[in-house]
Amino acid sequence: MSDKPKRETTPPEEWVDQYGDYLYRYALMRLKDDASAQDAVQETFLAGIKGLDRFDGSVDVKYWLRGILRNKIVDHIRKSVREHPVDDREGMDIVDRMSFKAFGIADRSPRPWQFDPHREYEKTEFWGAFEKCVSRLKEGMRQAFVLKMLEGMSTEEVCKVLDIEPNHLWVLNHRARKQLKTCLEANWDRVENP
Amino acid sequence: MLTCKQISKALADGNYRDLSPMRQFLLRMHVAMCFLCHGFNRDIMFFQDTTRAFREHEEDIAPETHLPEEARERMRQALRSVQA
Repeated sequence: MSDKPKRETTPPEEWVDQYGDYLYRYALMRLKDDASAQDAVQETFLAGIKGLDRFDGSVDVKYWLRGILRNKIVDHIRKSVREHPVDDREGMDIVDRMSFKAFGIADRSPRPWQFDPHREYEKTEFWGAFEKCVSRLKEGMRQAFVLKMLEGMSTEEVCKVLDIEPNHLWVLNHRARKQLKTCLEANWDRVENP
Repeated sequence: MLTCKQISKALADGNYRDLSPMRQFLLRMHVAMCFLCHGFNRDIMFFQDTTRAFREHEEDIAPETHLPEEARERMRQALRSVQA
């Protein structure tokens, strides 16, 4: 039996005011579309109420709701893929290259970064630029990046949601990283030297 | 000794910081020294570090973005109706 004291639970009637903004921002970053983000948050609150008896108080209710929201976001992406399949196969020639087959790499020496990204993590503006760059990725690439890199889902799970093969996911993430690097360099430079 | 292909596979499977300390050490050593995959895999590691850091800082980003009042009211009503 656990001796851990249970956290006080915020009553559901206060959820919208207490956690609405946080969950909305979380969903908007991952779904991009305003209406889908609002739907996902509303579905989260409703699922939260229905499952409240399963809430054991071991985490803050905010993070418990975020856990539900993550599943709702995946559902929304799955639905969106059904309507608009990820068929962007541009760049798949990478997997036929000798360097990919032999070493698992696409480019031996991508150009070096124009700034050291690790030094920027404490700056809120950097994350603003990062968010903006993620939102500019083409839909399939953005969905792959969100599920694999932001949500940390396994390759197998992401491939199931996006209905693609692992090699295709690898290419999408490779291209997403390349575009993000270019975009971050352009936008971060602008923030620092307006 | 890990090969470039094993490193790339490990980086494609998940965040390198979730690997065991020994495997993480071997991976870092390889990427630091390898003339073949150094630039390529270092970029992947950077993005894994960055997305991890993003999740840590995410709550402080874009505080000016709010759930629109109209949606807020709709959600309050929906919550009230299932509670009733």
